[in-house]
Amino acid sequence: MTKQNSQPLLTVKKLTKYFGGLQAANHICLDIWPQEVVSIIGPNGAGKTTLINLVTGVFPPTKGTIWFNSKRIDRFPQARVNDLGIARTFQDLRLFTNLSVVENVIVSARQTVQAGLIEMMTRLGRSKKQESQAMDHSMEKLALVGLEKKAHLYPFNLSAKEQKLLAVARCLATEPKLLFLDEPAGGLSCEEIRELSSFIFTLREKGMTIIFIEHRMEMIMGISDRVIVLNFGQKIADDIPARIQENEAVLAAYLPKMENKS
Amino acid sequence: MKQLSLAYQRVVDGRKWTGGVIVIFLVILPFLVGPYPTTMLVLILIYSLVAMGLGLLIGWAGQFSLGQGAFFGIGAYISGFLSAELGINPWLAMLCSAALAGTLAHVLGKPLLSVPGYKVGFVTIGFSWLFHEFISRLEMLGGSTGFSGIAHFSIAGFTFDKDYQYYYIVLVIVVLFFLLNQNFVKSKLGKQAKAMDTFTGGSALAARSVGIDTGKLKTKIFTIAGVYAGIAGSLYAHYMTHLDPTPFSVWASILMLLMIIIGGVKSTWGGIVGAAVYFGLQEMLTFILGSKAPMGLQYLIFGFIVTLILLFFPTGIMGFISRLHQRLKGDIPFSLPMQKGFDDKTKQPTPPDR
Repeated sequence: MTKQNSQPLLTVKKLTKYFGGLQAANHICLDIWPQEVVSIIGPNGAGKTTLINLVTGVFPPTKGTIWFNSKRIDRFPQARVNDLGIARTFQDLRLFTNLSVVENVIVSARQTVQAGLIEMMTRLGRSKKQESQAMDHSMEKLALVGLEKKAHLYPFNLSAKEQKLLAVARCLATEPKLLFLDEPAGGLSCEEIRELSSFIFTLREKGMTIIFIEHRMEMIMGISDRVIVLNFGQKIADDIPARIQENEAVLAAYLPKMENKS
Repeated sequence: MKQLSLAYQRVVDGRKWTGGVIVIFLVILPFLVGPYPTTMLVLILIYSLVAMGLGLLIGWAGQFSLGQGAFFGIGAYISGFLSAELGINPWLAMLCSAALAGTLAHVLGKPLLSVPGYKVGFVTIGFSWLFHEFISRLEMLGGSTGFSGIAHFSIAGFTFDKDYQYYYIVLVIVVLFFLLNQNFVKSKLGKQAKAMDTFTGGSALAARSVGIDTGKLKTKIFTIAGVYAGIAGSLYAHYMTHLDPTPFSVWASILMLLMIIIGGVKSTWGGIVGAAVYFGLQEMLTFILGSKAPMGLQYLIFGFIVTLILLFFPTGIMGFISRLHQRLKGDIPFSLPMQKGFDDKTKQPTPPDR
């Protein structure tokens, strides 16, 4: 979106990952610019989730480097990657089902006041201020996704769409600059996908960069500035949606399967 | 069943007095039971403090430790040494014990807890063993025969040397740490610990992805458990006034683990209930079998009873009580099995938001 005047927000150079003898990522290179909405597509086992896992520090790459905001992050642990401003959702959501909806967000809330362990245990000093700030911050994020009225329910009381929104709210509480969404439209109806798409645009307007893995073509083609296509751990295409549909390598690797399915 | 549930709810709604009643009961308890059981009460409270810390570690950090006996011993030996050898005030000695046990737990926490899964048990048992061997060979502190001359606690010239007097000191400290425990559980850190606990519905991977440094958090909880054990050790040293390595063996660590598992790892009350059940059972068996009965027989029956408790209350006694409470309150239907897990809220649908 803002290529001309800025540095890439995320740069991945020759990213390679081996799991034993299996090469899950093979020399992937990409640049993501601030406020872009980028989708990553590819057949099952193409290395889409592996790419997210590598960037978010779930495991280190075998080779290659990852730069975020001009800082090399490929050896950083997950929590530190998140502190720098990268958040992600999971395909299987991984909500904290032993915590209420609002508590799911509170645990990741970045409030301005940080109370120490002794303050929290004695409930003295900054602990009460931290609690109230974390609660306000979390309710604000829940309101953004429309779940503020369900704050005291548990995640399994929510619908599939609401659970996905809670996963997003949990990420938003960490105040990310870059947000990875792993199959956000899975299991949603067409109407719900339209709502989700407009929500993603709202996030972009707030200054966020969004990368999402998806199989639902109506969403991919509808909201992506760019589409990156992976196959067997390799990047085979990186282009605007209109051109991706005509890319021969993509057609060979991916789109025929979609057509056959429909 | 609905009427029972409604009646129970009425009692529960007006239960603000519960805490007060428990405190009054604990205050008058030594006068109700007499001198010998008061000794047991002091020990129950001391061990419940260690078990409480262990409960945080297992129930909130999802880690278990077979090294708490060593931290208990470190607290006892530091306090005992400072008091008996250097004549330092017992209160100051207790603070030093807590600080040292906590510091050691903090330093050892990261490498100990980085060992994956059940292997952490072997590492912590090794630590416990090492400590026991060390103090057994430390001639400066009497080796295996130990040392005496540890002072009782005193305030403004008044020495707490009677059992019932000591009971009140320990009671105040245990109540204080009980409240600290509850505050921790309710705090943001407590919630974050719950978030990373995969056994009850959390996810360590997701917790790390939202910025929770799970390693650091586990180390913090391990440090808290170390401080609790250190304070308990100090209380033990100033109560007994004599120390030898026997109560700080690997066996002691196993017993502490057993206490919190019997009581329930997910409840602040678990440590107190577990310690009370352990010492109560032990005394009951001695009373029934007589003091001349072989120890083997006592252990056999004790083991059998503990097995039955864990078989019927796999989430500990407080886990069972918590589930019963949820059923009586009407949050969960009675038809669901009782032994499934600790916290039904994580497994079963809750009623609509009230």
